[in-house]
Amino acid sequence: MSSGDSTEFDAIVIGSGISGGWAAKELTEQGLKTLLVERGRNVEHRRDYVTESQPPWAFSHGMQVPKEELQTHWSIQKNSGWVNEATKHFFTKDSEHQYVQEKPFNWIRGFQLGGKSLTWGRASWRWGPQDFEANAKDGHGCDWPVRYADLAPWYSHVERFAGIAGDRDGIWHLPDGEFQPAIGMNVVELHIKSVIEQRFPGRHLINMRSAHLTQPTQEQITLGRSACQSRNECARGCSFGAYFSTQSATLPAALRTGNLTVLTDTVVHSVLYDPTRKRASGVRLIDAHTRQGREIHARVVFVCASTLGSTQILLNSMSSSFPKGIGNRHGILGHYLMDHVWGGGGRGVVRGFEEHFYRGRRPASTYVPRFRNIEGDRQTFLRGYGFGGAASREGWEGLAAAAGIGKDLKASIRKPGGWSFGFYGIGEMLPRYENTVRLDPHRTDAYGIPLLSLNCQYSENERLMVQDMARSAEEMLKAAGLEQVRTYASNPLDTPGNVIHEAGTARMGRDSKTSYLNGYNQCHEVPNLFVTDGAALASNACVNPSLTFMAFTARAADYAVTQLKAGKI
Amino acid sequence: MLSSRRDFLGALSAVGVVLADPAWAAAQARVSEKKILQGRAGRVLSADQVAFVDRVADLIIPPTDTPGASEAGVVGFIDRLLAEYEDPPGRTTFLEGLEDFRRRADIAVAPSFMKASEARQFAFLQAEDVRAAEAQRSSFFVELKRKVVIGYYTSEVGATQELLYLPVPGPFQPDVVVTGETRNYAL
Repeated sequence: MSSGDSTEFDAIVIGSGISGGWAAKELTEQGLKTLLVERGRNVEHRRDYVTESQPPWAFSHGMQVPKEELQTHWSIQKNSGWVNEATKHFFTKDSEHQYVQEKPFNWIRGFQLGGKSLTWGRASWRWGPQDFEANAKDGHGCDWPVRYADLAPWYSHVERFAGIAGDRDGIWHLPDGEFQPAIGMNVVELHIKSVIEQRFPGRHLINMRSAHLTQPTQEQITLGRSACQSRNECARGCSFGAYFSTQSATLPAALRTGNLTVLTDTVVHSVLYDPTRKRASGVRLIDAHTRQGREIHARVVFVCASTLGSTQILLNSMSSSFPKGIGNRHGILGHYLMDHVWGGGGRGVVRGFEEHFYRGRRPASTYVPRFRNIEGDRQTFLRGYGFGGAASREGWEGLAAAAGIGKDLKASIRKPGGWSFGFYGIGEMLPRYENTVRLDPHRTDAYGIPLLSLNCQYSENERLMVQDMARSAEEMLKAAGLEQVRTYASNPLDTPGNVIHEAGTARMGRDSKTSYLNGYNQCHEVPNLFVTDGAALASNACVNPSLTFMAFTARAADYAVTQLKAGKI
Repeated sequence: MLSSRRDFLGALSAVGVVLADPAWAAAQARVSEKKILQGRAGRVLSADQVAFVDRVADLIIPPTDTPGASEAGVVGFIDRLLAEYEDPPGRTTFLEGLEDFRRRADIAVAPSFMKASEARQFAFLQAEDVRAAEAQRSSFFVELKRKVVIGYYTSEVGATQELLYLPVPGPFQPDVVVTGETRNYAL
């Protein structure tokens, strides 16, 4: 990786996660000399996956982080459930990076090269036509300036490169993509699928579409990637490159063009604005260790620092032309923050199937796509949710919690236990103006950048949705013949941020008075400034958003290059 | 395809490189500390407490055709949990609970739990286990049993001899036939 002395680039990409990695790849492949700036440390593929392959006995405390260490350093990150002894080094220390919670919000962050692409859940769904129409139909949020047809070819583009394992299920509202063979359902899931699809026409239980290679393409092999080995320790990093991350995929692709320079340990303070040309002129950088500042200039800037990271930078990019943050002429920047909502679901016991087991630790699950407020269904709440879930045989932890000691206990744990199946809902959160982020007026971080202050909460639509998750879970689980069915509906709802699908605050829209970006993720007011990560979303659908970040990024990069070559930006 | 196999082997050897890494060697050094403390005091547990916990653990998970909790170093694991994982309140709670439990054990299996026959020791623990299951709320015994179980099944003995540990399972197989040999997975 080069780290050149040049201060002039064609493009600067801020952030190296899911979106930033894609921007770097697309721009460099189009011939642009590109600087990729990452605030966190370098993480080198393979070498820096320091806990990869370590067996259970290599961890002193059964995978748990010591209590005081966890509370001191990951007091917020720990709420995500993802932080353990094997993964903690890929989660930002809250002790070192503060933000302000005007209302509770768990901002889960990964400040390192690759960002959260190292630790993400890999579920990869296209949005459907209904998702792009939702705001226009019910009036929440502003109308999307694009429709599914605009994104479809770009979903194909990113799926082919990233490698998505899934089935062509033929569901119009969860469109099929370019897939490698699905990882596969076990016998109990197949049974539950057949019952649900028969008893509830129009509902489906499908393989989760997942960014894992099952049949690597030549392009993926050439990048050094190989097929998933079912270890399910993805968040430690994968030397097989079997799941999509910046490290496994977009970074090597960008590096081999010879057009990429990567700068880690470098915080972006602000995007610079040239009032004469009415363009972004570059970025102000701060070395994370020396605190030295400098400016780097470029012809186009892509902001891909994660939803909240990007908006923090944009708000801090103040000038006399834009005292409220670059491009923020009408004050829309910071508003309409969303996460997803969860907290409703259920599980039950499945009798029989004792002759069946599975081999390997499947890094994916199954999914029931949205069936609420779709195809004539009408609920008391708007929009909808899907269920992720899986069937499994009871392992040693569950079996050991049962009564018994001695030889009998040991013997019962040695064999796989009974089957159970459960699923949990993830639902769409409505965009609301008052869910907002701003710069704290008083406090700054170690780099002199104002802390981000978050004011976001769920409301009645989300509460009703979660209650319905529990009801419909019960209905389906009982119909499938499960016993000891237990459902749950969080009340009060979990703290927003925990689903780690935060989106919005620099939204796309048709009207420059009520949106920050146009249909090409291009800032209405600053045509060489693009924001392509979750900050751009005007609504959030109910499916994991990362594939959509990838598609928007690739599409916007293509547009930016065209505009640049035509002398328009 | 040859090039895909070459890359797979490359990745496999990269995984091997990770295993030889200094960080990995340090992990292995920690592992060797987990062996039986053999009558010595631990970092938190006294010599008496070590002996008691070791005995109880070996009754909960005894030697069968595979080693039991004692040989798997479970008491060392629990001592390490107390020394490194627990915070001061958690440590205090456990130690107070342990002392209370030892007292009750010595009363139930008078004059001394540690000097009693295995059958009497086992009967006491079994009664504790039944009572805990009926009470349906946590007790010291439930906590101790949980730590013993985690210590055993995450140990090399438990994970590789008693259960099946597959470091690199390969492409996922969604349906395999259960035989008499089938074991639960360590992970």
